[in-house]
Amino acid sequence: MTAFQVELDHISMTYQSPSEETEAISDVSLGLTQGEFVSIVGPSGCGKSTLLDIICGLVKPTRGSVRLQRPAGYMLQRDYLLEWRTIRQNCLLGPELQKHNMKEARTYVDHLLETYGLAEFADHYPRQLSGGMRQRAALIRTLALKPDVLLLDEPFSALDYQTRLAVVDEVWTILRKENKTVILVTHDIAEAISMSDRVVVLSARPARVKVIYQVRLSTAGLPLQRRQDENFRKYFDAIWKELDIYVSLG
Amino acid sequence: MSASAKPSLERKTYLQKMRIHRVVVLLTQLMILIAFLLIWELAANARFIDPFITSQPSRVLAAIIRLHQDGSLYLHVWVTIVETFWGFILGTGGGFLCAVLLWWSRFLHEISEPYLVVLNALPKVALGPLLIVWLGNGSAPIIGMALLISIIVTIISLVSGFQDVDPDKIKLLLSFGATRLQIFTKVVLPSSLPTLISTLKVSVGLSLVGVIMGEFLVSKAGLGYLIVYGSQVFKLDLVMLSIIILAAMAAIIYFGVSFVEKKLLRWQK
Ligand SMILES: Nc1ncnc2c1ncn2[C@@H]1O[C@H](COP(=O)(O)OP(=O)(O)OP(=O)(O)O)[C@@H](O)[C@H]1O
Ligand SMILES: [Mg+2]
Repeated sequence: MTAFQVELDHISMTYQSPSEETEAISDVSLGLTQGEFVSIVGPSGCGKSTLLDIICGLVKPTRGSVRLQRPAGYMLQRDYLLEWRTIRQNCLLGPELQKHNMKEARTYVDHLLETYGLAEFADHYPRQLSGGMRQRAALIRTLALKPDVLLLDEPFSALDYQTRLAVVDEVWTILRKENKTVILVTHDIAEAISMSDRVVVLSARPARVKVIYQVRLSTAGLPLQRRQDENFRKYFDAIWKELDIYVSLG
Repeated sequence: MSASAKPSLERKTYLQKMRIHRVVVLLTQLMILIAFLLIWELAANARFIDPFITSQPSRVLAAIIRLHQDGSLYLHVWVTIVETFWGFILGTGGGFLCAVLLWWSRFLHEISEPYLVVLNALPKVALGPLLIVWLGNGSAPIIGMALLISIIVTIISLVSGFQDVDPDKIKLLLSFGATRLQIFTKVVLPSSLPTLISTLKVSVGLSLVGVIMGEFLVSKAGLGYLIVYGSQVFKLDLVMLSIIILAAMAAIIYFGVSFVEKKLLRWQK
Protein backbone atom coordinates (compact mmCIF):
# COMPACT_ATOMS: atom_id res chain seq x y z
CA MET A 1 0.00 0.00 0.00
CA THR A 2 2.97 2.33 -0.32
CA ALA A 3 2.98 2.70 -4.10
CA PHE A 4 0.33 5.41 -4.07
CA GLN A 5 1.27 8.86 -5.18
CA VAL A 6 -1.85 10.40 -3.65
CA GLU A 7 -3.58 8.79 -0.76
CA LEU A 8 -6.75 9.96 0.98
CA ASP A 9 -7.12 8.32 4.34
CA HIS A 10 -10.63 8.37 5.82
CA ILE A 11 -11.34 12.00 4.96
CA SER A 12 -14.37 13.69 6.57
CA MET A 13 -15.31 17.33 6.33
CA THR A 14 -17.94 19.35 8.14
CA TYR A 15 -18.36 23.07 7.43
CA GLN A 16 -19.43 25.37 10.23
CA SER A 17 -21.41 28.51 9.56
CA PRO A 18 -23.49 30.71 11.89
CA SER A 19 -26.78 29.25 10.69
CA GLU A 20 -25.88 25.60 10.37
CA GLU A 21 -23.44 22.76 10.17
CA THR A 22 -22.92 21.16 6.74
CA GLU A 23 -21.45 17.71 6.50
CA ALA A 24 -19.83 17.74 3.07
CA ILE A 25 -17.69 14.61 3.07
CA SER A 26 -18.01 11.45 5.06
CA ASP A 27 -15.15 8.98 5.33
CA VAL A 28 -13.66 9.01 1.82
CA SER A 29 -10.55 6.92 1.17
CA LEU A 30 -8.83 6.70 -2.19
CA GLY A 31 -5.37 5.95 -3.57
CA LEU A 32 -3.89 6.85 -6.94
CA THR A 33 -0.76 5.36 -8.46
CA GLN A 34 1.72 7.35 -10.53
CA GLY A 35 0.31 8.30 -13.91
CA GLU A 36 -3.24 7.26 -13.12
CA PHE A 37 -6.19 9.27 -14.42
CA VAL A 38 -9.19 9.15 -12.08
CA SER A 39 -12.50 10.97 -12.59
CA ILE A 40 -14.91 11.83 -9.83
CA VAL A 41 -18.61 12.17 -10.61
CA GLY A 42 -21.40 12.87 -8.17
CA PRO A 43 -24.61 14.81 -7.71
CA SER A 44 -24.48 18.62 -7.58
CA GLY A 45 -23.28 20.02 -4.29
CA CYS A 46 -22.19 16.66 -2.93
CA GLY A 47 -18.73 17.84 -1.93
CA LYS A 48 -16.51 17.26 -4.99
CA SER A 49 -14.85 20.68 -4.94
CA THR A 50 -14.39 20.36 -1.21
CA LEU A 51 -12.54 17.10 -1.76
CA LEU A 52 -10.14 18.74 -4.24
CA ASP A 53 -9.65 21.72 -1.90
CA ILE A 54 -8.64 19.27 0.80
CA ILE A 55 -6.19 17.42 -1.45
CA CYS A 56 -4.67 20.75 -2.49
CA GLY A 57 -4.34 21.79 1.15
CA LEU A 58 -6.64 24.82 0.88
CA VAL A 59 -9.09 23.32 3.37
CA LYS A 60 -8.15 21.27 6.39
CA PRO A 61 -10.32 18.16 6.74
CA THR A 62 -12.22 17.68 9.99
CA ARG A 63 -10.96 14.11 10.15
CA GLY A 64 -8.52 12.02 8.17
CA SER A 65 -5.40 12.92 6.25
CA VAL A 66 -3.96 13.33 2.77
CA ARG A 67 -0.59 11.97 1.74
CA LEU A 68 1.17 13.68 -1.13
CA GLN A 69 4.87 13.92 -1.96
CA ARG A 70 4.69 17.40 -3.48
CA PRO A 71 1.95 20.02 -3.67
CA ALA A 72 -0.65 19.28 -6.33
CA GLY A 73 -1.51 21.64 -9.20
CA TYR A 74 -5.09 22.91 -9.22
CA MET A 75 -7.14 23.90 -12.23
CA LEU A 76 -10.48 25.57 -11.66
CA GLN A 77 -13.75 25.71 -13.53
CA ARG A 78 -12.86 28.93 -15.28
CA ASP A 79 -9.39 29.78 -16.47
CA TYR A 80 -8.97 32.85 -14.20
CA LEU A 81 -6.19 34.21 -16.37
CA LEU A 82 -5.32 37.65 -15.02
CA GLU A 83 -6.42 40.15 -17.67
CA TRP A 84 -3.57 42.57 -17.06
CA ARG A 85 -0.85 39.98 -17.63
CA THR A 86 0.24 38.53 -20.94
CA ILE A 87 -0.16 34.79 -21.49
CA ARG A 88 3.49 34.19 -20.65
CA GLN A 89 3.27 36.28 -17.47
CA ASN A 90 0.13 34.38 -16.49
CA CYS A 91 1.87 31.05 -17.00
CA LEU A 92 4.78 32.24 -14.85
CA LEU A 93 2.51 33.12 -11.93
CA GLY A 94 3.26 29.97 -9.90
CA PRO A 95 7.07 30.17 -10.13
CA GLU A 96 6.88 33.91 -9.44
CA LEU A 97 4.81 33.47 -6.28
CA GLN A 98 7.10 30.71 -5.05
CA LYS A 99 10.19 32.78 -5.89
CA HIS A 100 11.73 30.17 -8.16
CA ASN A 101 14.57 30.90 -10.52
CA MET A 102 12.66 32.91 -13.11
CA LYS A 103 15.09 32.29 -15.94
CA GLU A 104 14.68 28.53 -15.69
CA ALA A 105 10.93 28.90 -15.23
CA ARG A 106 10.70 31.06 -18.30
CA THR A 107 12.63 28.60 -20.41
CA TYR A 108 10.32 25.82 -19.27
CA VAL A 109 7.13 27.84 -19.82
CA ASP A 110 8.30 28.92 -23.27
CA HIS A 111 8.98 25.28 -24.04
CA LEU A 112 5.45 24.33 -22.93
CA LEU A 113 3.89 27.21 -24.90
CA GLU A 114 5.86 26.11 -27.94
CA THR A 115 4.95 22.42 -27.56
CA TYR A 116 1.26 23.13 -27.07
CA GLY A 117 0.83 25.68 -29.82
CA LEU A 118 0.63 28.93 -27.88
CA ALA A 119 4.11 30.29 -28.64
CA GLU A 120 2.85 33.00 -30.96
CA PHE A 121 0.35 34.16 -28.33
CA ALA A 122 2.87 34.35 -25.48
CA ASP A 123 2.85 38.14 -25.49
CA HIS A 124 -0.89 38.50 -26.10
CA TYR A 125 -3.40 39.39 -23.40
CA PRO A 126 -5.99 36.77 -22.38
CA ARG A 127 -8.90 38.63 -23.98
CA GLN A 128 -7.26 38.12 -27.38
CA LEU A 129 -7.50 34.31 -27.06
CA SER A 130 -10.38 31.93 -27.71
CA GLY A 131 -11.93 29.93 -24.87
CA GLY A 132 -10.09 26.77 -25.80
CA MET A 133 -6.72 28.51 -26.02
CA ARG A 134 -7.31 30.22 -22.68
CA GLN A 135 -7.98 26.87 -21.04
CA ARG A 136 -4.77 25.50 -22.54
CA ALA A 137 -2.91 28.51 -21.16
CA ALA A 138 -4.43 27.84 -17.74
CA LEU A 139 -3.18 24.25 -17.97
CA ILE A 140 0.33 25.42 -18.83
CA ARG A 141 0.19 27.80 -15.86
CA THR A 142 -0.57 24.77 -13.67
CA LEU A 143 2.17 22.68 -15.30
CA ALA A 144 4.78 25.41 -14.87
CA LEU A 145 5.45 24.27 -11.30
CA LYS A 146 5.98 20.71 -12.53
CA PRO A 147 3.47 19.12 -10.15
CA ASP A 148 3.25 15.30 -10.10
CA VAL A 149 -0.46 15.45 -9.38
CA LEU A 150 -3.11 17.61 -11.06
CA LEU A 151 -6.55 18.38 -9.70
CA LEU A 152 -9.07 19.53 -12.30
CA ASP A 153 -12.41 20.91 -11.10
CA GLU A 154 -14.83 20.86 -14.03
CA PRO A 155 -12.21 22.56 -16.19
CA PHE A 156 -14.28 22.30 -19.38
CA SER A 157 -17.69 23.40 -18.18
CA ALA A 158 -17.27 27.02 -19.29
CA LEU A 159 -16.66 25.94 -22.90
CA ASP A 160 -19.25 25.39 -25.60
CA TYR A 161 -19.83 21.79 -26.68
CA GLN A 162 -17.77 21.83 -29.90
CA THR A 163 -14.77 23.45 -28.25
CA ARG A 164 -15.18 21.22 -25.26
CA LEU A 165 -14.73 17.99 -27.23
CA ALA A 166 -11.59 19.39 -28.86
CA VAL A 167 -10.14 20.76 -25.61
CA VAL A 168 -10.77 17.46 -23.81
CA ASP A 169 -8.63 15.70 -26.41
CA GLU A 170 -5.95 18.38 -26.18
CA VAL A 171 -5.74 18.42 -22.42
CA TRP A 172 -5.82 14.66 -22.21
CA THR A 173 -2.96 14.41 -24.70
CA ILE A 174 -0.91 16.96 -22.77
CA LEU A 175 -1.48 15.25 -19.44
CA ARG A 176 -0.62 11.81 -20.87
CA LYS A 177 2.50 13.18 -22.52
CA GLU A 178 3.66 14.79 -19.29
CA ASN A 179 2.76 11.56 -17.46
CA LYS A 180 0.80 13.30 -14.70
CA THR A 181 -1.39 11.74 -12.07
CA VAL A 182 -4.80 13.34 -12.49
CA ILE A 183 -8.01 13.72 -10.50
CA LEU A 184 -10.78 15.18 -12.64
CA VAL A 185 -14.12 16.32 -11.26
CA THR A 186 -16.85 16.50 -13.86
CA HIS A 187 -20.61 16.44 -14.33
CA ASP A 188 -20.26 14.84 -17.71
CA ILE A 189 -20.36 11.04 -17.44
CA ALA A 190 -19.18 10.52 -21.03
CA GLU A 191 -16.24 12.82 -20.43
CA ALA A 192 -15.31 10.92 -17.29
CA ILE A 193 -15.38 7.51 -19.02
CA SER A 194 -13.59 8.66 -22.14
CA MET A 195 -10.67 10.23 -20.27
CA SER A 196 -10.11 8.01 -17.25
CA ASP A 197 -8.59 4.80 -16.01
CA ARG A 198 -11.08 4.77 -13.14
CA VAL A 199 -14.33 6.57 -12.42
CA VAL A 200 -15.31 7.20 -8.79
CA VAL A 201 -19.01 7.72 -8.18
CA LEU A 202 -19.85 9.70 -5.07
CA SER A 203 -23.14 9.65 -3.20
CA ALA A 204 -25.27 12.71 -2.53
CA ARG A 205 -24.05 14.97 0.28
CA PRO A 206 -22.30 14.04 2.48
CA ALA A 207 -20.08 12.52 -0.18
CA ARG A 208 -19.19 8.86 0.25
CA VAL A 209 -17.53 6.62 -2.30
CA LYS A 210 -20.47 4.72 -3.76
CA VAL A 211 -18.69 2.63 -6.36
CA ILE A 212 -15.49 2.72 -8.41
CA TYR A 213 -15.40 1.57 -12.04
CA GLN A 214 -12.19 0.38 -13.63
CA VAL A 215 -12.63 1.55 -17.23
CA ARG A 216 -11.51 -1.11 -19.69
CA LEU A 217 -11.99 -0.06 -23.29
CA SER A 218 -10.38 -1.93 -26.14
CA THR A 219 -10.08 1.20 -28.23
CA ALA A 220 -6.80 2.98 -27.64
CA GLY A 221 -6.49 6.63 -28.59
CA LEU A 222 -7.99 9.99 -27.88
CA PRO A 223 -11.06 10.42 -25.65
CA LEU A 224 -13.21 11.27 -28.66
CA GLN A 225 -12.32 7.93 -30.29
CA ARG A 226 -12.81 6.07 -27.04
CA ARG A 227 -16.40 7.22 -27.05
CA GLN A 228 -16.96 4.92 -30.04
CA ASP A 229 -15.90 1.84 -28.08
CA GLU A 230 -18.46 -0.94 -27.85
CA ASN A 231 -18.22 -1.08 -24.06
CA PHE A 232 -18.58 2.68 -23.62
CA ARG A 233 -22.38 2.55 -23.47
CA LYS A 234 -22.23 -0.15 -20.81
CA TYR A 235 -20.19 2.02 -18.44
CA PHE A 236 -22.33 5.02 -19.22
CA ASP A 237 -25.57 3.25 -18.33
CA ALA A 238 -24.13 1.78 -15.15
CA ILE A 239 -22.84 5.13 -13.89
CA TRP A 240 -26.06 6.88 -14.90
CA LYS A 241 -27.96 4.39 -12.81
CA GLU A 242 -25.61 4.78 -9.86
CA LEU A 243 -25.99 8.55 -9.93
CA ASP A 244 -29.70 8.05 -9.57
CA ILE A 245 -30.52 11.10 -11.64
CA TYR A 246 -34.20 11.86 -11.59
CA VAL A 247 -35.53 14.17 -14.21
CA SER A 248 -38.42 15.91 -12.62
CA LEU A 249 -40.83 17.64 -14.95
CA GLY A 250 -42.87 20.61 -13.85
CA MET B 1 -7.55 42.95 -35.79
CA SER B 2 -9.80 45.59 -37.27
CA ALA B 3 -6.97 47.27 -39.09
CA SER B 4 -6.92 44.74 -41.90
CA ALA B 5 -5.44 45.35 -45.32
CA LYS B 6 -8.05 47.44 -47.12
CA PRO B 7 -11.05 49.04 -45.44
CA SER B 8 -14.24 48.53 -47.41
CA LEU B 9 -16.29 51.36 -48.83
CA GLU B 10 -18.92 50.89 -46.11
CA ARG B 11 -16.23 51.15 -43.47
CA LYS B 12 -14.93 54.38 -45.01
CA THR B 13 -18.37 55.99 -45.10
CA TYR B 14 -19.00 54.84 -41.55
CA LEU B 15 -15.74 56.35 -40.30
CA GLN B 16 -16.44 59.53 -42.26
CA LYS B 17 -19.86 59.77 -40.63
CA MET B 18 -18.38 59.28 -37.17
CA ARG B 19 -15.83 62.04 -37.78
CA ILE B 20 -18.53 64.45 -38.88
CA HIS B 21 -20.64 63.51 -35.87
CA ARG B 22 -17.76 64.26 -33.49
CA VAL B 23 -17.12 67.64 -35.10
CA VAL B 24 -20.82 68.54 -34.91
CA VAL B 25 -20.96 67.66 -31.20
CA LEU B 26 -17.85 69.69 -30.45
CA LEU B 27 -19.07 72.71 -32.42
CA THR B 28 -22.45 72.65 -30.70
CA GLN B 29 -20.80 72.49 -27.31
CA LEU B 30 -18.64 75.50 -28.20
CA MET B 31 -21.62 77.42 -29.58
CA ILE B 32 -23.59 76.93 -26.39
CA LEU B 33 -20.71 78.39 -24.38
CA ILE B 34 -20.27 81.33 -26.75
CA ALA B 35 -24.02 82.00 -26.88
CA PHE B 36 -24.19 81.95 -23.09
CA LEU B 37 -21.37 84.48 -22.72
CA LEU B 38 -22.79 86.64 -25.49
CA ILE B 39 -26.31 86.74 -24.06
CA TRP B 40 -24.89 87.46 -20.61
CA GLU B 41 -22.81 90.36 -21.97
CA LEU B 42 -25.61 91.84 -24.09
CA ALA B 43 -28.29 91.42 -21.42
CA ALA B 44 -26.07 93.27 -18.95
CA ASN B 45 -25.33 96.04 -21.45
CA ALA B 46 -29.03 96.45 -22.18
CA ARG B 47 -29.75 96.42 -18.44
CA PHE B 48 -32.07 93.41 -18.69
CA ILE B 49 -30.01 92.15 -15.81
CA ASP B 50 -28.14 94.27 -13.31
CA PRO B 51 -24.37 93.88 -13.89
CA PHE B 52 -23.80 95.11 -10.34
CA ILE B 53 -25.09 91.80 -9.00
CA THR B 54 -24.57 89.50 -12.00
CA SER B 55 -21.33 90.99 -13.32
CA GLN B 56 -20.66 90.44 -17.03
CA PRO B 57 -17.98 88.77 -19.17
CA SER B 58 -16.20 92.00 -20.13
CA ARG B 59 -15.94 93.07 -16.48
CA VAL B 60 -14.68 89.62 -15.46
CA LEU B 61 -12.05 89.84 -18.18
CA ALA B 62 -11.04 93.28 -16.96
CA ALA B 63 -10.80 91.97 -13.41
CA ILE B 64 -8.62 89.10 -14.56
CA ILE B 65 -6.29 91.51 -16.32
CA ARG B 66 -6.16 93.71 -13.23
CA LEU B 67 -5.29 90.80 -10.93
CA HIS B 68 -2.80 89.52 -13.49
CA GLN B 69 -1.04 92.88 -13.50
CA ASP B 70 -0.72 93.15 -9.75
CA GLY B 71 0.19 89.42 -9.56
CA SER B 72 -2.44 88.54 -6.94
CA LEU B 73 -4.28 86.25 -9.38
CA TYR B 74 -1.42 83.77 -9.24
CA LEU B 75 -1.10 84.01 -5.49
CA HIS B 76 -4.75 83.00 -4.97
CA VAL B 77 -4.71 80.26 -7.59
CA TRP B 78 -1.43 78.90 -6.27
CA VAL B 79 -2.63 78.84 -2.66
CA THR B 80 -5.75 76.89 -3.64
CA ILE B 81 -3.77 74.45 -5.80
CA VAL B 82 -1.23 73.75 -3.07
CA GLU B 83 -3.92 73.22 -0.43
CA THR B 84 -5.91 70.97 -2.76
CA PHE B 85 -2.78 68.99 -3.57
CA TRP B 86 -1.96 68.30 0.06
CA GLY B 87 -5.57 67.61 0.98
CA PHE B 88 -5.77 65.15 -1.90
CA ILE B 89 -2.45 63.43 -1.16
CA LEU B 90 -3.19 63.09 2.55
CA GLY B 91 -6.86 62.15 2.11
CA THR B 92 -6.32 59.65 -0.70
CA GLY B 93 -3.00 58.31 0.59
CA GLY B 94 -4.35 57.97 4.13
CA GLY B 95 -7.60 56.50 2.83
CA PHE B 96 -5.69 53.97 0.76
CA LEU B 97 -3.56 52.87 3.71
CA CYS B 98 -6.63 52.53 5.94
CA ALA B 99 -8.42 50.55 3.22
CA VAL B 100 -5.48 48.15 2.90
CA LEU B 101 -5.47 47.69 6.67
CA LEU B 102 -9.21 46.99 6.75
CA TRP B 103 -8.87 44.49 3.86
CA TRP B 104 -6.00 42.82 5.68
CA SER B 105 -7.79 42.43 8.96
CA ARG B 106 -11.39 41.29 8.87
CA PHE B 107 -11.52 41.99 12.59
CA LEU B 108 -10.56 45.65 12.22
CA HIS B 109 -13.06 46.00 9.40
CA GLU B 110 -15.87 44.61 11.52
CA ILE B 111 -14.93 46.91 14.40
CA SER B 112 -14.71 50.05 12.28
CA GLU B 113 -17.85 49.59 10.23
CA PRO B 114 -20.36 51.59 12.35
CA TYR B 115 -17.82 54.38 12.85
CA LEU B 116 -17.23 54.66 9.14
CA VAL B 117 -20.95 54.77 8.39
CA VAL B 118 -21.55 57.58 10.89
CA LEU B 119 -18.47 59.57 9.88
CA ASN B 120 -19.48 59.24 6.25
CA ALA B 121 -22.93 60.67 6.91
CA LEU B 122 -21.64 63.48 9.13
CA PRO B 123 -21.41 66.82 7.27
CA LYS B 124 -17.69 67.49 7.47
CA VAL B 125 -18.16 71.24 7.36
CA ALA B 126 -19.60 70.99 10.88
CA LEU B 127 -16.09 70.15 12.04
CA GLY B 128 -14.66 73.33 10.51
CA PRO B 129 -14.71 75.46 13.68
CA LEU B 130 -13.02 72.64 15.60
CA LEU B 131 -10.31 72.42 12.97
CA ILE B 132 -9.67 76.14 13.32
CA VAL B 133 -9.39 75.86 17.10
CA TRP B 134 -7.07 72.88 16.87
CA LEU B 135 -4.97 73.74 13.83
CA GLY B 136 -4.86 77.54 13.90
CA ASN B 137 -5.82 79.84 11.07
CA GLY B 138 -3.19 79.12 8.43
CA SER B 139 -3.38 76.52 5.69
CA ALA B 140 -3.56 73.61 8.14
CA PRO B 141 -7.32 73.69 8.90
CA ILE B 142 -8.07 74.09 5.18
CA ILE B 143 -5.97 71.07 4.26
CA GLY B 144 -7.56 69.29 7.22
CA MET B 145 -11.01 70.01 5.79
CA ALA B 146 -10.00 68.68 2.36
CA LEU B 147 -8.58 65.57 4.00
CA LEU B 148 -11.65 64.93 6.14
CA ILE B 149 -14.05 65.32 3.30
CA SER B 150 -12.24 62.87 0.99
CA ILE B 151 -10.77 60.25 3.31
CA ILE B 152 -13.92 58.46 4.49
CA VAL B 153 -15.38 58.04 1.01
CA THR B 154 -12.00 56.84 -0.20
CA ILE B 155 -11.80 54.22 2.54
CA ILE B 156 -15.32 52.96 2.01
CA SER B 157 -15.16 52.63 -1.76
CA LEU B 158 -11.65 51.15 -1.80
CA VAL B 159 -12.45 48.52 0.82
CA SER B 160 -15.53 47.42 -1.06
CA GLY B 161 -13.49 47.37 -4.27
CA PHE B 162 -10.81 45.20 -2.61
CA GLN B 163 -13.44 42.83 -1.26
CA ASP B 164 -15.18 42.53 -4.61
CA VAL B 165 -12.31 40.57 -6.11
CA ASP B 166 -13.43 37.16 -7.36
CA PRO B 167 -12.78 34.70 -4.51
CA ASP B 168 -11.84 32.04 -7.04
CA LYS B 169 -8.96 34.21 -8.28
CA ILE B 170 -7.74 34.30 -4.69
CA LYS B 171 -8.24 30.56 -4.45
CA LEU B 172 -6.06 30.17 -7.54
CA LEU B 173 -3.26 32.13 -5.89
CA LEU B 174 -3.65 30.19 -2.64
CA SER B 175 -3.26 26.97 -4.61
CA PHE B 176 0.16 28.30 -5.65
CA GLY B 177 0.96 28.92 -1.99
CA ALA B 178 0.73 32.72 -2.19
CA THR B 179 1.14 34.84 0.96
CA ARG B 180 -1.43 37.46 1.91
CA LEU B 181 0.88 40.23 0.72
CA GLN B 182 1.27 38.48 -2.64
CA ILE B 183 -2.49 38.08 -2.95
CA PHE B 184 -2.84 41.80 -2.39
CA THR B 185 -0.15 42.95 -4.79
CA LYS B 186 -0.69 40.37 -7.56
CA VAL B 187 -4.46 40.16 -7.69
CA VAL B 188 -6.41 42.44 -5.37
CA LEU B 189 -4.65 45.66 -6.26
CA PRO B 190 -4.54 45.17 -10.05
CA SER B 191 -8.16 44.02 -10.21
CA SER B 192 -9.25 47.03 -8.15
CA LEU B 193 -7.47 49.45 -10.44
CA PRO B 194 -10.72 50.62 -12.07
CA THR B 195 -12.21 51.22 -8.59
CA LEU B 196 -9.03 52.95 -7.54
CA ILE B 197 -9.24 55.35 -10.45
CA SER B 198 -12.92 56.14 -10.03
CA THR B 199 -12.20 56.77 -6.35
CA LEU B 200 -9.36 59.06 -7.38
CA LYS B 201 -11.72 61.01 -9.60
CA VAL B 202 -14.17 61.50 -6.76
CA SER B 203 -11.62 62.30 -4.07
CA VAL B 204 -9.67 64.86 -6.07
CA GLY B 205 -12.94 66.71 -6.69
CA LEU B 206 -13.89 66.42 -3.04
CA SER B 207 -10.51 67.80 -1.97
CA LEU B 208 -11.20 70.89 -4.01
CA VAL B 209 -14.64 71.17 -2.38
CA GLY B 210 -13.01 70.80 1.05
CA VAL B 211 -10.43 73.47 0.29
CA ILE B 212 -13.02 75.99 -0.87
CA MET B 213 -15.16 75.23 2.19
CA GLY B 214 -12.12 75.65 4.40
CA GLU B 215 -11.21 78.93 2.72
CA PHE B 216 -14.76 80.17 3.28
CA LEU B 217 -14.31 79.59 7.00
CA VAL B 218 -10.79 80.84 7.51
CA SER B 219 -8.24 82.16 5.05
CA LYS B 220 -6.16 85.09 3.89
CA ALA B 221 -5.73 83.93 0.32
CA GLY B 222 -7.07 81.44 -2.20
CA LEU B 223 -10.01 81.32 -4.58
CA GLY B 224 -12.44 80.57 -1.75
CA TYR B 225 -11.17 83.64 0.07
CA LEU B 226 -11.59 85.71 -3.10
CA ILE B 227 -15.21 84.56 -3.45
CA VAL B 228 -16.08 85.47 0.14
CA TYR B 229 -14.21 88.77 -0.05
CA GLY B 230 -15.77 89.67 -3.42
CA SER B 231 -19.29 89.01 -2.20
CA GLN B 232 -18.75 90.97 1.02
CA VAL B 233 -17.54 94.10 -0.77
CA PHE B 234 -20.01 93.54 -3.62
CA LYS B 235 -17.31 93.06 -6.25
CA LEU B 236 -19.19 90.33 -8.12
CA ASP B 237 -16.53 90.41 -10.85
CA LEU B 238 -14.14 88.83 -8.35
CA VAL B 239 -16.68 86.15 -7.43
CA MET B 240 -17.41 85.23 -11.04
CA LEU B 241 -13.73 85.23 -11.90
CA SER B 242 -12.96 82.81 -9.09
CA ILE B 243 -15.81 80.52 -10.12
CA ILE B 244 -14.59 80.47 -13.71
CA ILE B 245 -11.05 79.66 -12.64
CA LEU B 246 -12.39 76.90 -10.36
CA ALA B 247 -14.30 75.45 -13.31
CA ALA B 248 -11.09 75.50 -15.36
CA MET B 249 -9.22 73.78 -12.52
CA ALA B 250 -11.91 71.12 -12.26
CA ALA B 251 -11.64 70.52 -16.01
CA ILE B 252 -7.85 70.20 -15.87
CA ILE B 253 -8.12 67.75 -12.97
CA TYR B 254 -10.71 65.71 -14.85
CA PHE B 255 -8.56 65.41 -17.95
CA GLY B 256 -5.51 64.67 -15.84
CA VAL B 257 -7.23 61.73 -14.16
CA SER B 258 -8.60 60.50 -17.49
CA PHE B 259 -5.07 60.54 -18.86
CA VAL B 260 -3.79 58.47 -15.93
CA GLU B 261 -6.74 56.12 -16.40
CA LYS B 262 -5.87 55.51 -20.05
CA LYS B 263 -2.24 54.82 -19.18
CA LEU B 264 -3.05 52.42 -16.33
CA LEU B 265 -5.90 50.49 -17.93
CA ARG B 266 -4.27 49.75 -21.25
CA TRP B 267 -4.92 46.03 -20.90
CA GLN B 268 -8.64 46.62 -20.57
CA LYS B 269 -9.42 48.38 -23.83
N1 LIG C 1 -16.83 27.50 2.85
C1 LIG C 1 -17.97 26.82 3.05
N2 LIG C 1 -18.70 27.02 4.17
C2 LIG C 1 -19.85 26.36 4.39
N3 LIG C 1 -20.37 25.44 3.56
C3 LIG C 1 -19.70 25.17 2.42
C4 LIG C 1 -18.47 25.85 2.10
N4 LIG C 1 -18.04 25.39 0.90
C5 LIG C 1 -18.94 24.50 0.51
N5 LIG C 1 -19.95 24.34 1.40
C6 LIG C 1 -21.09 23.41 1.30
O1 LIG C 1 -20.57 22.12 1.19
C7 LIG C 1 -21.32 21.35 0.25
C8 LIG C 1 -20.41 20.81 -0.81
O2 LIG C 1 -19.89 21.88 -1.61
P1 LIG C 1 -18.93 21.63 -2.84
O3 LIG C 1 -18.69 22.93 -3.49
O4 LIG C 1 -17.76 20.84 -2.40
O5 LIG C 1 -19.84 20.70 -3.79
P2 LIG C 1 -19.62 20.28 -5.30
O6 LIG C 1 -19.87 18.83 -5.37
O7 LIG C 1 -18.32 20.77 -5.80
O8 LIG C 1 -20.81 21.07 -6.01
P3 LIG C 1 -20.98 21.42 -7.55
O9 LIG C 1 -21.47 20.19 -8.20
O10 LIG C 1 -22.03 22.48 -7.52
O11 LIG C 1 -19.66 21.90 -8.03
C9 LIG C 1 -22.38 22.29 -0.29
O12 LIG C 1 -23.58 22.00 0.37
C10 LIG C 1 -21.89 23.66 0.06
O13 LIG C 1 -22.98 24.52 0.31
MG1 LIG D 1 -17.83 22.19 -7.39
